[in-house]
Amino acid sequence: MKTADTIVAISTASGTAAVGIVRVSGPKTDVISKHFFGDVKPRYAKYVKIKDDGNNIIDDAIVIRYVAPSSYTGEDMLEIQMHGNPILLEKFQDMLCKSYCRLAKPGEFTERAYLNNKLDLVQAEAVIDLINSTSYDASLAAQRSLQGKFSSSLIKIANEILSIRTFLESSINFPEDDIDHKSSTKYKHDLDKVVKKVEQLIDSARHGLKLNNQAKISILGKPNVGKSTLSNTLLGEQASIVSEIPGTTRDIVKSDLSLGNNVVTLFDTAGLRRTKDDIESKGIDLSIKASKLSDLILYVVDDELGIDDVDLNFLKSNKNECWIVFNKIDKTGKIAETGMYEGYKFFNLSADSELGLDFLRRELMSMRNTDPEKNVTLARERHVESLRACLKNLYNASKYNDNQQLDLVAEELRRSHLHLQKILGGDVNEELLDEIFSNFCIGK
Amino acid sequence: MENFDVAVIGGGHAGCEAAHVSARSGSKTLLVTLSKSSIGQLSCNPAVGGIGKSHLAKEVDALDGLICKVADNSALQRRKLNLRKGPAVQATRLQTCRLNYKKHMQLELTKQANLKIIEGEVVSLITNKEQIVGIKLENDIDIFCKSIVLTAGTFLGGLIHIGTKSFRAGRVGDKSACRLESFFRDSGFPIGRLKTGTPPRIIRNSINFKNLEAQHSDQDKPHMSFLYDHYGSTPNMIDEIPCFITYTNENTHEIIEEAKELSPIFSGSIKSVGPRYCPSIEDKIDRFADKKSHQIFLEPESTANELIYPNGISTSLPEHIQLKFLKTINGLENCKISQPGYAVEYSYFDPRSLCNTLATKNYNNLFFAGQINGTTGYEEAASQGLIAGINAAAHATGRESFVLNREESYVGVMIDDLVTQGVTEPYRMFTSRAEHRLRLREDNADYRLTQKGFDHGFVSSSRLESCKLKTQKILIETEKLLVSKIRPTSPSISILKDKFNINIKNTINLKDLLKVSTISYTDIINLEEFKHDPNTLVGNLVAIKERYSGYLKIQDEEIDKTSKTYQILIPASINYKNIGGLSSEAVEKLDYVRPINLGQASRIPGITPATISILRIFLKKHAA
Repeated sequence: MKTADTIVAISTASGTAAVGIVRVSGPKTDVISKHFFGDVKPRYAKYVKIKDDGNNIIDDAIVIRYVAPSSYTGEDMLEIQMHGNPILLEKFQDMLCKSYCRLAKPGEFTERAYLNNKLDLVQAEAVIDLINSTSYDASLAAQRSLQGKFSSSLIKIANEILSIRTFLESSINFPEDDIDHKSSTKYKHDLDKVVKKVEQLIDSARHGLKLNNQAKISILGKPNVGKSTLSNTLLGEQASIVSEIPGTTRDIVKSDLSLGNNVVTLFDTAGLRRTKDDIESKGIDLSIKASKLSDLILYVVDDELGIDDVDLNFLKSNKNECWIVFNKIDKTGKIAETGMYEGYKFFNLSADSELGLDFLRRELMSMRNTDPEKNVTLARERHVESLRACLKNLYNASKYNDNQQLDLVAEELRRSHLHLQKILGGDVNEELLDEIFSNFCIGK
Repeated sequence: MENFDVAVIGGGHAGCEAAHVSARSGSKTLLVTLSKSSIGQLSCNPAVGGIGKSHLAKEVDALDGLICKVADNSALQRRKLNLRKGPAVQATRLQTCRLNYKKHMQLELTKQANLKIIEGEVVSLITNKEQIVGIKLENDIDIFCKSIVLTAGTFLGGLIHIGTKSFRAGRVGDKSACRLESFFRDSGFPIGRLKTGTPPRIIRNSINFKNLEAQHSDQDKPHMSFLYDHYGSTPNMIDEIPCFITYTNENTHEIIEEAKELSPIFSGSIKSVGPRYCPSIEDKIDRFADKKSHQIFLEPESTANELIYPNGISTSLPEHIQLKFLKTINGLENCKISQPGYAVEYSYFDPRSLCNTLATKNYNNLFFAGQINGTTGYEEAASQGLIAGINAAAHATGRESFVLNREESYVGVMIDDLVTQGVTEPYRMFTSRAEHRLRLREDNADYRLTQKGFDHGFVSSSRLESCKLKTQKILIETEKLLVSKIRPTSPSISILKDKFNINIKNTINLKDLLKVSTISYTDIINLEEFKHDPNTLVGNLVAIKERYSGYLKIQDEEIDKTSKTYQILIPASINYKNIGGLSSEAVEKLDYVRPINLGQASRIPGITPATISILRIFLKKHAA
């Protein structure tokens, strides 16, 4: 069985690794292969450089081409082994989605494999489980990612498209009713406004949004306990993929920390070391603010000084999840370990000599892994994909500027609306009729 | 009494098409009606066609049905709607003479071979071991038949309301079929109630038309049927009579507002739902309180021209209030009412209990069509009648069933909507319901359907020949346009730029020039490259085809992409409870609708893509 569309996905499991694999399956595999890698002999590993639109090398990789039916899915396939850096992997996946593929649904490679008789019945049962579990996660995740600003902008856009369609479709379907048929200049104006909004939303989704929705971790503690050192050490290894985003205030440094397949925002309250009381109190205000916004607080204690009432009071007054880091054990001679202290998870470590840091990193990673956050990013990518398709239709719609072309404008808008429906759900036909009948007095 | 292949109950728009198609496919057919003289009655407004509706009607015509032909032979005014909005959304509408319409419909039926018409009330169906074997008439006469089409319209449990009065009837002056309704109720069919309404009829010579705006036919007087539009036949023409337009005003609204409580929709005696696109005047005034005036079309009812149908003011207020508010309207100051407006509540069957052949899921030889399936409109009824009729005949004679899908027809869109989603208000066709609107046009209904109907044995060979001839002419004209080329040096280049704002750099043929959506066939015949004899009728069809060719190509690709999955059949015996991983909600929905394929399953409200994946894998596994 041949499937008409080509799918792509990052196929390696979450977790920062040396290698990350992007898989492509479907009829456009050959075109993609030619475009990015030139001639690739089937079933031979080829060393290639992946370039972006601007001809900049984004990664070097090993590519293997499979020709149908001799592949996992039974279709033409590509396996691209890149460096296991989620940002690069996503970037490449994104480039493919822009012109060739769509993102695979959960379990879709396996589903295709089954449908092409590459898997047996027992494996097929497993696929059903997989689709079930992942679709549950995915819908949960999609729901989560649909909370907040992104979703409200999305709903607004969908409503604006709906309102233009309401005007167009009522004038098409009820030409003789004396309803207020807005002039075509009015709908043109509305259309231009929607186009701008979708452009902006795609832009913010691509750049800002990811950061806004990332999990946040704050490092807090009294002055001079080694907060900055901890922060730098955590970030240090991955400096190549960390982009530093200047905070709004100099007193908090905001950085991206890559944990497995996820990126979290790390707030380092490094500017707290002031001696004057008023500045210190301002700093503490900020820290508390940051801690309230955080999903997790790493509370650092200088193990040489030990934990005191000030520390305990802060911990008790704080409602977010908190882990205690007893730092500088290289000086106190304690062994690196993790456990529970007064109901809080703790880590004995030395940020400076990187002693015991593994425990912390592993815990941070496993915390991320139990979360469906991975699917959130995935779902979000799909949203951007749908938004792009929506925008394409809107561009076409605004191209037509003659009343005689109302049928074509209506078709483009219907399609743009359908793309948003993919994200938001609902029945566009029914919504449209509801809208027409509640706005216009129909029935000549 | 003798036996029949097919018995059709009801002589409205669904019943006429059902009986006719069954008979012309060769099945021995009986039509039972409460009153022979009411066969083909236009119970509501005297018009056929309109946006979405003419699309349905032309599909019935392309399948050799009656509605367009009969309308053309009784037309008082002919118009094309949306003339300036692109061909795919254009529609034909005819005002017709009620009497002529009925007369021509009855004529078509009486001259049809294999068709017998009798008068009588069907009180129940005769069953034998879970099968229906015949119908029982009021005076205990049994008629045996192999399949049955029920087209009872508003007559099943019909209840008419005028003001605070209510009485049992399917239409004013006609009795209601109550005993048959209780038969279906007792047999466990899912029954709901809907409402519709009609305006008062006004005696024509009591109206002063002097100051009213007249609405005449369009200049090129379009026809409904392909026979008259493209195949060269001429209908029986009758004198044209225009419509007139007038408006309600604040005085009208005041009277209606004051009397509101006397209307059964506000007093609470009507609880069922009416169509939102056809509200009563009291409803309009209530819901759109800021609107100071509503438009009324004064439509002629017949050539005799004695009555006027005031379209836009259906009402169930008491008769004296109706007269009082009418008299406030410009032109109606001295009007007389011949029959008051009324609301009618009637029973319908949840169409989700039907297959896409319109056979009921309970009995495979019992078919439902028309208003009893929750639809409204002559065209909606006629097209269901056609599908139910042909499938009833097919069942009786052991032939394959005839199903149209969403990609090829509005009929397919409607039936799929009905059997998959059910109805919450009387269902009417809108072009916005069709995802393939640019393909499903008036002009190509014959191209889409006639051959298919012929292959199935109910379209005449003469119609097929005419359809083929039309297609042939389109091809020939296309060919001529294809070889006519405009070169960059041609003076036409500057004409196109100045007059149509079209910039052409390379050589282009006239066929491709028609892809530009702002230029028409009549525009290009004046270019010097156009050298053959112009044929506007055919040329316009070529232009329409070219205009949409790009979009249709994209749609074709999309259909290809999904059709393989969507066409996967779901066996009737499937037990959804046995499929691991389906949510109980999905099981319940699938079990209620029992879709025939994955495409239909995917359109059930609330069924997710993940559910479809699970079904797909399950089906694949069990097919192996």
